[in-house]
Amino acid sequence: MKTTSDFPSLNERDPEGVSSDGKAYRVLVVDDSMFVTKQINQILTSEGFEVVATAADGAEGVEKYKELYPNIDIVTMDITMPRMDGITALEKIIEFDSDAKVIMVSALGKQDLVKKSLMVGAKNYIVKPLNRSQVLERVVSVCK
Amino acid sequence: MSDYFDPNNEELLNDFFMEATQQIEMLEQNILAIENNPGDKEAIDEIFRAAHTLKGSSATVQMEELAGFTHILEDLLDEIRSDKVTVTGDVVDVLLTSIDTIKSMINERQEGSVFKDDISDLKNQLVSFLGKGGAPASAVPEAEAKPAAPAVVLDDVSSAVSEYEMLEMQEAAGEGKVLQVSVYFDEANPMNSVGGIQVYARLKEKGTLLKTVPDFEKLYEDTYWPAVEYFLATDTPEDDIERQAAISDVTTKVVVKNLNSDDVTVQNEPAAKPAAPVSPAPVKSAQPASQAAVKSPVQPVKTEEAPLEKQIEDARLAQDDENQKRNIQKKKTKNATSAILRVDSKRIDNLLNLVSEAVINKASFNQISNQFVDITTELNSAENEYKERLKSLFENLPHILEKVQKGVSSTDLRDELTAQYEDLFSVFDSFDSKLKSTLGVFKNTAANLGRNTGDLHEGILRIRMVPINQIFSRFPRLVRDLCKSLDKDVDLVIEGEETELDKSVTEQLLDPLMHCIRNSLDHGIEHPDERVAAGKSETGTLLLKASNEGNMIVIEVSDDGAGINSEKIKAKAIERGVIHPGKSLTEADIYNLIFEPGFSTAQKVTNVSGRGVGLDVVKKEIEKLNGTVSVDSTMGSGTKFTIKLPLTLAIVQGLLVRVGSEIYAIPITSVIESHRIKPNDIKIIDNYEVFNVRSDVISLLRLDKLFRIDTEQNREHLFVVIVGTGEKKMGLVVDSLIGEEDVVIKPLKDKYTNSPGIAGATILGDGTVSLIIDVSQLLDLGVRRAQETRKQSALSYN
Repeated sequence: MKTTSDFPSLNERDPEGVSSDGKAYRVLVVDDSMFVTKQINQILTSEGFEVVATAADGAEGVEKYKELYPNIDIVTMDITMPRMDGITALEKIIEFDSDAKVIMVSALGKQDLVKKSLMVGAKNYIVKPLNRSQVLERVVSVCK
Repeated sequence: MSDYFDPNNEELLNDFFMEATQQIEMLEQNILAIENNPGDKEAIDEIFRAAHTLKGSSATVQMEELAGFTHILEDLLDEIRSDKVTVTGDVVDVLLTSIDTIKSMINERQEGSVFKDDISDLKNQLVSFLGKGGAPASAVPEAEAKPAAPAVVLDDVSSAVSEYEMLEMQEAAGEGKVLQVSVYFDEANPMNSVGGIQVYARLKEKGTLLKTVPDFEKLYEDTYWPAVEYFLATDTPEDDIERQAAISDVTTKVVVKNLNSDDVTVQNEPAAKPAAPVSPAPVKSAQPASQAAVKSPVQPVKTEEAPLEKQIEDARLAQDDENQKRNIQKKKTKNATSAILRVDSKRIDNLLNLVSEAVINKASFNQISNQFVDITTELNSAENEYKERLKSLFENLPHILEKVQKGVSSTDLRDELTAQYEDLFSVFDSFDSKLKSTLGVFKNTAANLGRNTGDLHEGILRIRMVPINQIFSRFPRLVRDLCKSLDKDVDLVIEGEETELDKSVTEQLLDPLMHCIRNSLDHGIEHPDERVAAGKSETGTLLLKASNEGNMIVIEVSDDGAGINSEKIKAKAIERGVIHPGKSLTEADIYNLIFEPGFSTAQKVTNVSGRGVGLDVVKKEIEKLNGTVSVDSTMGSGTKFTIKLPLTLAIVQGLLVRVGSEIYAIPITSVIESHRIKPNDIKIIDNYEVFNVRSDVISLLRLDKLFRIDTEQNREHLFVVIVGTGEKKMGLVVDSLIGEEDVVIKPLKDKYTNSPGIAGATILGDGTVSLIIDVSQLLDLGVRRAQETRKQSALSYN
């Protein structure tokens, strides 16, 4: 008799975006570029993450975080944005919730800003141009 | 490179193009802003951000030429931002040229090819500004920005920690243990210089970081360190620290060493007394060990470097190949962006709200229909009861007659009848009251539906409304460039840029508006010296203003230039045969002659205002949009073009008229007045049917003849609708006027139905199709005929 439980398929794996208790990690995407937002959204949702909100600038990001807290697991935060840049937004979010898991999204060449945000309390960073495996790896590493 | 981007992901690609266009617009606006005000920090930040975003997203969609170029541009912008390069006219010129280059790169990509022009001159120019600013001698980045500077050798890591420092660290750690964490970083990581700080930030959470080699400041610099040592005072077990320091993708190896335990083993001292001064000797003995640990892993990494680079190179070559294949595929996605409309989400929310109301409305109608069914059943039963009662009444009649014969008094008889049949009166009462109440609800709901449809209609139209700034924003650049080439000095003032109008109108408005502006700059505003001579300020002013006027939008282009010379215009018009020499014209009429075809008073043809194909095209374009254009001028102090447009093209108010059995709609904006006339009011001049309105003579056009429709010939009255704009008028003869109505224009796309004089079709309330008359085409037809006749009569005189 053939049952799937006896012979677990090698190809079957759990989507990365779902925690061990079966709930999707909830993500807030903060980026002024609609294009990047969409990309991150596509990458993450394809792995079962749930993008619960997006924000187009830092100020909106902080606002949304406070509004959704504690129903938010991860924030991806662009660094250069209008109104309020990502680092200031990061500071505000950390100030509000010191355990916030924020991942910075930065373009190549912005090492100093990435370093600064890591010191402020960002958990990891992603470099643009976005690469699916890198995005997933870094987001998942923060989830665990 | 991105393995996520799929060349067939047209949606993302479209988004990219759309966003890129916006970024470019933003760049251009702000560059112009800093030209006027070099200290405008906000504008500089905006420029920088736009360029930066452009770079990032173009790299994602694998447009290397774009990413590479914007990278260089960004370098210069960065210098400007940090005040190392001052904004001069030259810098602005180079920036604007760069923007143009970026534009053409994007255009090429949109058309499916790759920009291949040689732009090394421009690149060098950009770089030369970098040098001038005394910037750190940053090497010119190649188009394909390579990973940051190569590794700095780590030989001196351990020696950097002196014995004294070691002692100090032990001291600071107090009760805890001191761990030496050696972390090796992956050079292939695109931001390999960040790793040092990333690990620092992570270790910081687990204890006190006493020291790093290289030190913290150096880690903060933009250099890649293949390996970093962290000295950490902590209580956390070594395993945890190892896990904490290891970051996938960033670190290759982590070695954690407990310095205290080393001491213990060497010194054989109890671990309980770590605070005691540690003699230098044992520490030293620990040192070489760690040094070895550091050195050995570094070696293999280094030997791998060369092949790794080769691999990257190979990968890139392969990618180029692939890109070429992709370009071929991309051709089919050409120009797909123009159909995208950005809409404020509030407007969509509003629509959703209205739609939900419509759904509720539908539910109400359902309910009402059910009620009607109930009422009908009730009516049936009431009817049956009524019939039965009547039947029994008829059956009773003989008895009653009998009683009458027996001499029963009529009063008794009436009482008896009343007692028996009184309920006949109230049989329908309940039905009646129910019907009334349901009818009330029905009327209410129908009224709601009407209101709802109206709101929905307006809401949908609002979706198509965009701020006119979308085209106004392109003019600062145009004006600047034109001023340079014409050697004039002009301030462009824009007002009312938030005024909204239909997207399709906006798109078609750009060219005519550009023409008007060119005209003002070229013919209107004088050279600075002429201006000074005329007692004006050296700088001319060009005002571009949009405003709402009822359901029309008014756009004004006014300058403070020389104005129009009406005598010159009139002479020219007579010379060209546009008007009859004897015709008396008002000043306003004369000014508007410049919109006639083949009219240009510029002494010399310049490439700015063209070869006399200028303003008549403007007029045609504007009339195509159901709008009007007029010009007003005062000699010596300026000219003003006024363009009036309907807010939307999709819906017009139409005057419905009947010709034979057909119903036509005439856009109300071009209707001046209408008359009821007798057939003998029509006079004939030069073989034309004309008609006197007050002091004017209006030529008539019979729609029945034009469209070949059979109509009753001998009628007592005819109706004339006078249509036209400004000086051109014409009377359309129709059978009768029906009334005004909002008509939704449906374009006639079929080439077989492309007949002159028809702008489109609409569907009337009763479902019949009605054609919409294109007034400007009819006017043209009339004018052409008139001109031909004039020419012929001129010939016959000779």
